[in-house]
Amino acid sequence: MIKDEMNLPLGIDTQYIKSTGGVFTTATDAEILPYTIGYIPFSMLDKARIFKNMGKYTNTSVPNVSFRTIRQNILYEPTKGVPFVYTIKTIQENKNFHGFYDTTGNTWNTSFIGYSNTNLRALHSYNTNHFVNDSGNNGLNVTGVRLIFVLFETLGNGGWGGTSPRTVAEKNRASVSATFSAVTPDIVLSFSTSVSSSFGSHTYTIDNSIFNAMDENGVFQIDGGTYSSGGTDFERHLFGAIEQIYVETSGQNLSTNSPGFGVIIADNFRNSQTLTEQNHTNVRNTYGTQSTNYLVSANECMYLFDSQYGYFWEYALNDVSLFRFAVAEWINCPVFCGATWDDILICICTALPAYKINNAWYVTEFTDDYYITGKLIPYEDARDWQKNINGDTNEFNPADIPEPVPPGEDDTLDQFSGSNIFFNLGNFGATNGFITHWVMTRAQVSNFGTYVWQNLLDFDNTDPNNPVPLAGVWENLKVATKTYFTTGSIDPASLMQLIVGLRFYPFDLNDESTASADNCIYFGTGKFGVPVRGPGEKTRTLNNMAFKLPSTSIVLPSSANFWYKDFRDYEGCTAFIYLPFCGTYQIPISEIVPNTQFDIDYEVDLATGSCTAYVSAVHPTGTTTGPKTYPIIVANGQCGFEVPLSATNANRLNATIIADAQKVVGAIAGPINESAGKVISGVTSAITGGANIQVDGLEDIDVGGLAAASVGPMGGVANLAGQTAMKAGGNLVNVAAGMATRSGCAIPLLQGGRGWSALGNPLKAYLQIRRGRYMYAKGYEHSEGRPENRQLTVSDITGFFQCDNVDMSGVGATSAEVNMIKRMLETGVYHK
Amino acid sequence: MSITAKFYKISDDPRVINKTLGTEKEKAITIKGADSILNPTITIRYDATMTDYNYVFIPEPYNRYYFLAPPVVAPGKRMTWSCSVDPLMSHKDGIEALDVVVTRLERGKYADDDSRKNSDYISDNHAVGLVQPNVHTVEAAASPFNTASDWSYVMSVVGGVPNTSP
Repeated sequence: MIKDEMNLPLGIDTQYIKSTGGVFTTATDAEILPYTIGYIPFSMLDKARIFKNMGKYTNTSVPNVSFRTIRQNILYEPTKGVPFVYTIKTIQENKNFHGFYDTTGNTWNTSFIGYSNTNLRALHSYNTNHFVNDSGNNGLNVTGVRLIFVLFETLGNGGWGGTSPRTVAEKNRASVSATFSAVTPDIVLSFSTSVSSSFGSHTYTIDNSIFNAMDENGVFQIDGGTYSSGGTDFERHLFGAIEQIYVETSGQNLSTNSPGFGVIIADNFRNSQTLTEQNHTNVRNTYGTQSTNYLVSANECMYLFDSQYGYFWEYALNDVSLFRFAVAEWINCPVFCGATWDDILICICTALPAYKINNAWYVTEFTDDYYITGKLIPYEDARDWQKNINGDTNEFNPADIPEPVPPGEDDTLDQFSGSNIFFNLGNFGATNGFITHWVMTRAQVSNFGTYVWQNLLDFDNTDPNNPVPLAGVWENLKVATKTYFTTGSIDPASLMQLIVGLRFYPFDLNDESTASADNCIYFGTGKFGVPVRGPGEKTRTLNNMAFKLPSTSIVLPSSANFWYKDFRDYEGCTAFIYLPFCGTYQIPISEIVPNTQFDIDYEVDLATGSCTAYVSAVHPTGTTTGPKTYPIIVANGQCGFEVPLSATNANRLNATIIADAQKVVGAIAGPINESAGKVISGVTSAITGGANIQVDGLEDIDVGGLAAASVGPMGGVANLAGQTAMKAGGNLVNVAAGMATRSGCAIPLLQGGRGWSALGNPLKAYLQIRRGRYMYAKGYEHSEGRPENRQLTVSDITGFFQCDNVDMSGVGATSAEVNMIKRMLETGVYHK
Repeated sequence: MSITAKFYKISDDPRVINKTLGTEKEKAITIKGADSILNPTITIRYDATMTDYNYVFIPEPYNRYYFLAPPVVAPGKRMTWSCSVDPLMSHKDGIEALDVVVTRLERGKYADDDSRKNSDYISDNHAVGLVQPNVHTVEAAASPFNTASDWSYVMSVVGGVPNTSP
């Protein structure tokens, strides 16, 4: 099976390999990029899912071995060519405690440092072909190595051979770094620091001398340091271990030409004591005769370096009893690893043909869920690849291309096949120079209205019978806009036309905007601005016209889909999804039962306030073609609400809202009664503010007084008009909805809502499943059976069964008996 | 015609193919000459212990199992049964060898059979449903829309690029 998950991110220093007819070639960037989202920063890597089905074995004698994975640290640079650091963290959670290699005895022993033994190595190369090796001199530069050592001391009573318990406590932790003054093959190491720890007469020192230069064969080793014993004081002892190893490289990307890294760390993983709870026996072993020298490790572990993502992955075996070797199912990242009881082997090879390591570790089986780095592997390529590796064209039997089966043999198709489909959403659609979109808060809108209206309506009332409007903001605007609009014909009263619209959005657009020059909203040529914020503060303009809201999802619990785990999960079931501002949509139950979640995204058109909700179903593993994401709903709605700024558009908005409300009320609860009509008309009149108007035949109202009485200064009218409209519409629709509920109308589904009333609906999407409930009498299955549809031999059946159109050939009975038997088989019989 | 038949007391459902034969008792029977092989009438000498037998196997030439109707005590110390053939038991071997397309099946030993998975999703027209549905609501993890504290307004104006030059 092919894991056709696209959009896998490109890592750096990654080998991309393609297979064509079984021949491997390196894929070019041009070939890879269409399938990727480009280089991504380290922080995004947490989201990457990079492997599946670990713990597949070719050795069938290995039972019940499972893995748990722990992502290791790594410093990672997002740009190709920048030096980066691999980290092997060898001590974590009291599990992995690496000792030193006895170069004299050529064995791996413990962390024991004692008796001035200077021949202990903390780390050495796996062989001449591994561990920071560029024997091919292809330009892989190792620029630095840094080790973090931890020095421990044992504390206890009785000293050497004393009584338990002893404890082990951390004494010192320090890093030792080395830089390479030259590149391979003539690396020379020099270390800048050293660390030493001592107590009593004991001293343990790590300094430059512990590092040996990488020789011309690429062999590199790090010794364990020196330990000097001051005599017979065995009360306390020091020993050290490597906590982390950093290897910095630059230059050549890991490729088939740079075999990569290999580390052997052995014989340190058998015990399960913790660092702080060492018992006497193990402490003795730590100091012992080197024959059973095991230190701290909770589990057998192995590491796997992911050259795609720059991780070391630790695979900790939960059952080590019979573990011999395992295979990591990776073909995208040709990194293979293995472990045995006796050894922990870290092998990192970046060339696929080099999968055979130590003559024992190799990939022989690709079963399912294969990735390639940032690229989808076509089925044929993967098959060819597999053939090439195995040299056996018969082993790969892809399950995603089922063989034709004759009717009657359970010939159901998989529920999903083909490609994943993803919506391409984001923030885009640049603003232009003709229109500027100012992002404002409610307070800023209020400030704007106050400023504009106060200036506009500043009258000289010297003669009460002939008030003279004073030159205010509109006069200024007129002057200003004349310089831009050459006709100069804009009348002050129509300068509001400079405002294309004011919309309200139920989300924060602050991050989608850019700070302006100052605290003003500018018009026209930009020479005139209305201050809406305090001095020193800045207004903000919108960046893009299409805005993607944060994604959310509806996770389908098992109770929401596989409840009965049979036909009842489908039959008689209906499901609806409510999408805020877009309404409620029916979803086939077949889109719910097998899926794990619905991903929901909104894209908002900030120019019009319209929004589109995108719903994708996510199917889990469980089909032969792997997880699937596919769209099920694209719904339109309106989540941006126009705030009326003038009598004209207020009338239009209100008429629309009222008409909608009347339709709802009329449709659901019959004619609106007289008082309700008055409510509507009153509110409508209040909304319109400052104008004597008539809306849809409703009452005429002198607005001036009402507006002044209700909201005070006329400046407030403009600010609040839209909100009033919202309340009016909201009330009406809510009333309508309530009436609908009380009346028992079968309209339980919420609509998207029109106007501001939509804010009264839930702002969270939800899924509602209406599932049939069944009653099964006790013994139902024994007396009725359950539906079945397959051919069986009667002698193989136990219990009740019923057949269809039985072929009675072979039953030597009279015709009457044959008919009787046939009828009985078809109406139900029992076989014991 | 006098034949030695085997009488049984059975308790299986008549629809069981391979019935369990209980207490057996052989008796000499007489069959009326003109009776059908499917519904013969048999007679024995009166035996008070035979009243509870409900099943009989009549060997050659009948070679079939029969259900027995309640016996009738006839004059002359005779007991008579009307028999009806049990075609399932009589032709058990032939039936058991049949390959049949099973449309309904008691789970039994097939309960864990993977090949049954699809069968679970065949509609069961025998199931009895309640009129009240189960209503299950699952809410989204979060809303992309905010509460009142983070609302925004967008004012669109003509031109508007700040120009502070004199």
